[in-house]
Amino acid sequence: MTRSITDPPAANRGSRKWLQVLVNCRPELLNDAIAQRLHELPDDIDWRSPIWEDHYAEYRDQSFLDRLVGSMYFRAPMKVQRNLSDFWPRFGPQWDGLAVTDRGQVLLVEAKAHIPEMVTAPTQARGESALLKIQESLGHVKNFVNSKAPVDWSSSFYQYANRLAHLYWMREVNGHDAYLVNLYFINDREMNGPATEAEWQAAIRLQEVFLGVRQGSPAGYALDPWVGAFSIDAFVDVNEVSVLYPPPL
Amino acid sequence: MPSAQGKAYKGSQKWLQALVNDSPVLLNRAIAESSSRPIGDIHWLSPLRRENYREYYDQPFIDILQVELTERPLGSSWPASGPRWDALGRSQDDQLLLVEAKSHVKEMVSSLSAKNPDSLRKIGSALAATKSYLHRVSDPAADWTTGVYQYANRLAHLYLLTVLNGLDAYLILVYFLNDHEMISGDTFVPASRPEWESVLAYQERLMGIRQRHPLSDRIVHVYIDVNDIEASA
Repeated sequence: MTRSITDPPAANRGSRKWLQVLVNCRPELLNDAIAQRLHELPDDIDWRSPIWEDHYAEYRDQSFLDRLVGSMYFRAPMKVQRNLSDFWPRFGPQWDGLAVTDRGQVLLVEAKAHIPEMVTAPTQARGESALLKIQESLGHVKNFVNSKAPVDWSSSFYQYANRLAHLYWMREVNGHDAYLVNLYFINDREMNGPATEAEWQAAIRLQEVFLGVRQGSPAGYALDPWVGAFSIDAFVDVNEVSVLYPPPL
Repeated sequence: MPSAQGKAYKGSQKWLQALVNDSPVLLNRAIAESSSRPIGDIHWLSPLRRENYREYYDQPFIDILQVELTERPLGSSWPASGPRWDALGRSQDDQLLLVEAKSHVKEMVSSLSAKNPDSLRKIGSALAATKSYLHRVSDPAADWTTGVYQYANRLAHLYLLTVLNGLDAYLILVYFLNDHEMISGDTFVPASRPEWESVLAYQERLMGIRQRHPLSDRIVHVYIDVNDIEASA
């Protein structure tokens, strides 16, 4: 399945719940948090998932592309240079959120409400060809962002690494104006999440150093410019959301 | 051989040297308040000004603590050039304090660099034994040699002293707040305890360690604002 509906579809806690609430009830709050981090300020954002009318479905593989293509704002690149299936095997990242702005910017959203969510299981890919494809693509991206880190990107950092790889595929291989939006919720006390942006930033910095996308330079410890420009961090304080649950189906 | 470290002029070394030599009351109080077990009055053994702030590693670190590893000697568990301890102390109740200090996030990241096959085998075995001891509450597949190696090898030494040799040892992890001298470029210097706690939660998640484990009572996280050290000087 490349379109996934969880049970129950309307989440009752954590980052899935807050993203569903924001996309469907308070999009202006979410849009403001994201828009200021984009290169060009959009006037409107068309959220493609998780949408109430679509049973809060989340998408992966070719279906996430199809979902984006269905947006009125989607702009086709001049030419598809490499199919997703050539870059990544089936059962790739399942996106927490997908959107397209009126300027044609594609937003791939990964949401977190507490620190342990940042560390995920290594790749579960089975089969030699799938693993090889993942290793090859991750290696390519790791080289592209000049990471010299000894860590294996397919291990504990796999979730962030595979999202970064898909950003690379969207932007550098196929010419979409794509952004990876790392959405961090503040004050999700139910999940024992961070209470300030600085608390998130501390763990984010550590992750960046581990991955080698933030490395020593003459100017200090700098973030890779490409990662800094297109993998953007946005923060929403759940205390400002005022809606506690997504609309039931 | 112990290392002739010399006086440090910035970073966690500078602040720890200042605490041990000039403001031990501040350090001791912070440890006492953070430890879940009572810790007696502490006598600091390193880094002492009169020893040119020497930091100890390998057998001299055991010797300076005035103990013997009768059950499992250090050399049988760990190769030469092992962890260099930022500070070492001993309480009036014969508790052994092994200290590691940090003042910014980048300091948390380190990887195993040994190349010698015998050293790698010994280290791998020690880390595996430590992980196995934490087996029920840890992820056996987590990689402890890359990125998180420094914390892993400190845990392995705590395991060696306490579990394998029956000593009453503690790993004291000192996190400094507001060390603005270390800000360079985008270096992240935590300004509050929760910021450090986020980093630690991330690190422990990477290592597959839960908050509570068989050694957690012997690991003391201490948070000290460098402004308080300057004020006490």
